[in-house]
Amino acid sequence: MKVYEFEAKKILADYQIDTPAQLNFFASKDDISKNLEYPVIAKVLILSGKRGKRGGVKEINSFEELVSFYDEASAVFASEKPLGILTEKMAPAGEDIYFSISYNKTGPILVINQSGGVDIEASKLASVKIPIDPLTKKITSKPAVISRFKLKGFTDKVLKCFFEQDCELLEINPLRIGQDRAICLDVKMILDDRAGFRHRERQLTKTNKNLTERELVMAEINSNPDFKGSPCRYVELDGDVALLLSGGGASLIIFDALVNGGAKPGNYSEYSGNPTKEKVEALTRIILSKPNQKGLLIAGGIANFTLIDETMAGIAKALADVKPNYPIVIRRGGPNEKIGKKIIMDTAVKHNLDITWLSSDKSLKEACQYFIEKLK
Amino acid sequence: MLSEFKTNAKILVQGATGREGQRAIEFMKNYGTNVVAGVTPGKGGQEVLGVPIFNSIKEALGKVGPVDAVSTYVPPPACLSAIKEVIESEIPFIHLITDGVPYQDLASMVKLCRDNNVQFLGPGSLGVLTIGQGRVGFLGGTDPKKDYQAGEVSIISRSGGMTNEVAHYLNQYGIGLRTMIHLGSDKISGANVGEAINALSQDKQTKIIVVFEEIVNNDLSDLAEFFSKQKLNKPVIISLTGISRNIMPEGVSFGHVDALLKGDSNLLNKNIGRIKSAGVVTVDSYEDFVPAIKNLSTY
Repeated sequence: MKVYEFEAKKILADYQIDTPAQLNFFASKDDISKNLEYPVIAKVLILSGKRGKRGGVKEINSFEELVSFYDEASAVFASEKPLGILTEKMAPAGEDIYFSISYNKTGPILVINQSGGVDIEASKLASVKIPIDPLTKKITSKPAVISRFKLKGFTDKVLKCFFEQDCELLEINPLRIGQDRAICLDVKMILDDRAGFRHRERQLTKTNKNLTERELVMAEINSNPDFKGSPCRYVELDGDVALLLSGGGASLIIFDALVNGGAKPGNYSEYSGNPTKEKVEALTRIILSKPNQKGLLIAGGIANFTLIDETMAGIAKALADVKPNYPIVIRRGGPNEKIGKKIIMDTAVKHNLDITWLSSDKSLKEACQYFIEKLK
Repeated sequence: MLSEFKTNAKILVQGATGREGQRAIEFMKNYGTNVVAGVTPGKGGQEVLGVPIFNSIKEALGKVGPVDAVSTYVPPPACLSAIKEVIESEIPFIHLITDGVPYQDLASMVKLCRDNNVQFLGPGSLGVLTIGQGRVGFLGGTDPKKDYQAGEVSIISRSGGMTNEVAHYLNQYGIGLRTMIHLGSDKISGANVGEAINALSQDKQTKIIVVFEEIVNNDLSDLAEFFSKQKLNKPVIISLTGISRNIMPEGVSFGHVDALLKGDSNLLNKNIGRIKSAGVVTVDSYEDFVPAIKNLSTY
């Protein structure tokens, strides 16, 4: 999960990593303190990037100015549902650089670029990339840039924070190189959700304000330990065709085929592994609850070990209850496929649903073409 | 083990008494795999489908002798210590099915395996299967004996479902199979497509290699680099899937875990060009494997 800047800065402070002084967070206009020492830097709390360029960061000299910044930023960034604003003291002058730790395909990596504060992809200067040994949790070489900016102690502290907190990304941009210390002016922290079991005590503001109602329900189901098995994904899109897909690779093929065939997906949803029937039922209910859909495609490859009877039983239960009146096409194979098909087709007969179960001899692309014809 | 699953290779199963571990033993045994031992701490002395269970790998090896590979079915928090135990036992091959292992632990496992010369298939891999010789993991589904005919085409994929799907499709068109490898698709992985191609290049009975590859947030730089250095000793055909990525909102995970939407189309096209110029055949969809294979002079 992404961490809001004011909370990320508090985590850094726990590791004696310098951030600007007098950090305050105001969740509403009424919360704004009248006792701030001006000037301050004010920032709108959103999770997407390029905030500065869009007027989300400003130097403020009075209470009145801060209140009007709050109003302006709330309006400009309304679609991103800001959490509030933060204020902090201006840092002493100095050179700004880019500093991050993340993972690439082989392991953790430290990246330093001497042009800080800007989009790193747009930087004309080459980045220094130093692999980190995940076992010793130390950088594998000491490039000149580290001694030049006196970053050895700073790097050690950031590495400790990165690994102890199980970060997936810790990006400090800009990092202000001051006279005697480096100060993190802005921080983007993404925590590794998979390591959540090591941080159960952690209490951070949930960063799901931008999810749709249905996406929120899915997120809650995935984090509920009563729903066992692999997580299900649900992303809402603008289109009018409902999808319930299985398998990462198969879902891509199906998406390609539908989009190329002119269909407009109303969602992207996918499950793999062996989710329980209760979880698949919950996912199906979320998909079926989206209004104005023209049809439903339930499709995936020929599974190796996902139990088709178990997953289809979950789907059938939701279909029997909601009774959608649009065409439904299913293309799925794998363990206990015959029982799965029977469960679905019995449900179709009993509730008079328009369901076609295609044989696995039809390729995924052919199944998509069949589905698109059915929608006409 | 990646070049072929050798007949009678001895397999030890970690996490053998859990739901997936027990099913895996059933799947492997029904395809003739020689599963010699299972390990679950605290469950020593039990049996799963006739396979003896031990409390530790050390204890197991003391009883059954050396094994060729370990197939692991333990939950994410236990994976790193499980892999360490395999490495300490000097077993040359690890297959890990588990998904959702913390990145920090994954990076440590990959490094440990590399430092100790242990081949690491996974995480999130359904395994390897060589037709008529056996399999490690679930790859090939319930009844590969019925579903697949032997032949000369080997399949590599980062998608488990698609490994099986491609196998079915080729089979439907009368194309026989040799070995199927599912690499898994995590952001940090053990064996990659290049390593798998290298391994299959060593196998005399593999005459053609097909690769199912995804191009969502994968600019193919690694593969382009691999093919520009590697001389191929047999035809390689790659299908590239995921062109519809453009309609997804930014930052959404699409396809597999590592498939965050953020791609550089120019770089991708350049790399596809490099791959083609190395003599690799690229196709848009896995259905096109069939005509591409039939077009090869070696087929």
